[in-house]
Amino acid sequence: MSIDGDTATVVDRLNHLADRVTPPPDLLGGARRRARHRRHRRQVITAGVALLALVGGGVAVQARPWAGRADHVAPTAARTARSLLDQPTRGDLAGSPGYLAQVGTAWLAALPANRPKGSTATNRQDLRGKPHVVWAGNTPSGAAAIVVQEFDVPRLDVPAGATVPTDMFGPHLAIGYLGPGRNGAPTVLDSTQAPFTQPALFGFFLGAQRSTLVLLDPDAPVNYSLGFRYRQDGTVDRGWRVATPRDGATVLTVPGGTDQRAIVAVLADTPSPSEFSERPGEFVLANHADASTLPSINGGHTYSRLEWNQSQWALPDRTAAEKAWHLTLAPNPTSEQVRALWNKATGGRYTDPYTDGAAFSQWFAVGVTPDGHRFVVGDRQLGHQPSQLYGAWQDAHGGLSTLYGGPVTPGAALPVRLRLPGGQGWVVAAKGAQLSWHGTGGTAWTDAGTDAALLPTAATQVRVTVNGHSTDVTLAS
Amino acid sequence: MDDSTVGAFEDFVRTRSTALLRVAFLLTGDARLAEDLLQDVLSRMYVRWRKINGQPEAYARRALTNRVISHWRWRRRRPEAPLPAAFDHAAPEEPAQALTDAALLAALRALPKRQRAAVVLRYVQDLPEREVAELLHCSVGTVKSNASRGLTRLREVLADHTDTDRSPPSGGTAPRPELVVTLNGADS
Repeated sequence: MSIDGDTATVVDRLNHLADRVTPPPDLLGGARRRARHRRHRRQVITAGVALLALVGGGVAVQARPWAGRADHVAPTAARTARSLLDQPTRGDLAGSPGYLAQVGTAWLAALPANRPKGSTATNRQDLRGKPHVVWAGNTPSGAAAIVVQEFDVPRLDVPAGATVPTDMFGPHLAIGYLGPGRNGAPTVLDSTQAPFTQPALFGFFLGAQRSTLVLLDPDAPVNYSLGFRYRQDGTVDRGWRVATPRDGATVLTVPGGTDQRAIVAVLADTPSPSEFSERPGEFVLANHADASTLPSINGGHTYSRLEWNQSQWALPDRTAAEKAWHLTLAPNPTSEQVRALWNKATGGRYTDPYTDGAAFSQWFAVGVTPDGHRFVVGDRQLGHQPSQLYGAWQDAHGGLSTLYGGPVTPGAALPVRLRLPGGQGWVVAAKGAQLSWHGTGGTAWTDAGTDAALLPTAATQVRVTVNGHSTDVTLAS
Repeated sequence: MDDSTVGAFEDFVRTRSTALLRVAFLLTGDARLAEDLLQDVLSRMYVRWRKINGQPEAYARRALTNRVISHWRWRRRRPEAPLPAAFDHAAPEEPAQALTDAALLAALRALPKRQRAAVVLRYVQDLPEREVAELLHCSVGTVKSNASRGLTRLREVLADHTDTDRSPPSGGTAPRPELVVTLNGADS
């Protein structure tokens, strides 16, 4: 395209305007969360496949929300979405016809009268039958209700070559979640859709700070988790709790400071999903707070991953490392192979399949130790917690174990410090820095190159020099 | 999805989301709305990533444009509450520069939506007229006329404010545009 000077100026200025917009850190995580909502409308993938892959070295299976059950257990036959249409209203407001009528009115009033062109969004034109309140009750955040109605998803043109689930269109259940509005009257907070045959796993947040969580009782045991923490060994603990429904729903109070994006509720008999797979048995939680709706609750996310883009360092030197990798991998350890080994070591108990926003390592320190172990060190951020340092540790027979170095601090002089087992030394890294070290009683600094190094176990201090400025870092004993 | 598929999707988001977000921003004039629409498009791509062969960026651009257009149609029926201003991460500018940017952004937002889309897709995105026509479901001739009119209006605004910026601060009494940039409620 050839354009004149005036046009080029306008385009330049428009580009300049747009240059000031940058994606939020949570863009990827948010997209995944939405994808989960979207998948809610798809056919349930039968559980029992894609179970957790065990880590090569025989690491135990991931802690699961159910106890005492064998693997490959199909989810309990929970109430289906369709069955809600026939279920009597439950909850302590079920006997308040005035409130139930207000709920039905508010539900219909919130929807557009006609089908938005090219969209399957819930609208009055495609609703069938009458609204039915399946639960209405008082909560710490005021009166709340869940209303359902049959909804006929209109068939849309599908792009050439695309395939869609068999239940993408046709009879669905539209679900409305209501809480008190500004004037106290019932107001639709959010809505979702589900195919008739899907389990009725619906929940939503309400309250000014989204401090109340309502889980509709699916007539099957439900466990929930308010988040996860890292144990001392780097494994992830979800702290599952048993939901105790009363009269059709479990009403939970979410403690202040909870990252609501990390809250999960699942059918208790659901096998733990493998990472990134479909997650059958998981509740769809509507109206949760995210950075765009309630930044005061969940807007504090920043990437704490080390942004050492596309870096890979071979330690202690490239020739030795490549020779070592040749034994079990490929002629040269490519990034994909390195990443695969590291992912294998840091999966299972070391990750959380219910966290959408996983930010994987952008760098790896790979190498071989004097006793022949191979290692891959990198970091990974799950959700909105600090990024964690992990290492894959592989012996000469292929046995794989996981090393854990704790949270990383991107702004630290030496963000990466990982002690290797068996007195095999330290892996240290600081991109762009000149590194040197000395041991106990020593005063002379030994050069260790740039970016990353494998230091002997006798090293006690590391000097990190960037742009002529040096910082001495003590390695933990 | 397996790890490699997830990795490919992540790489795509990591490397292309900035460019896509900027297109969405110019199409909507609203940074928060642009984020929201882009996130929506990415979530759809995530679900069907394995089926998106070849050129995910082309797919994303098309989907994003369609999403913006759908949003316009939706808003005709159901006005939304304005969101807070979202230019908070903008780098500080020289006052004159900020003035021009504010005026240009206001003019961009004031353009009829199809003119705005034609300008952005044709000139900023550098798409062929035929492709813009397909995206906007109109003829090539309509694309030409919309792009031309929109561009003419933006040129005028830019020329006006460039001239204004050059004049002495105390030289005139003509009111200047507000320096405060708000990005909501662009579509009316």
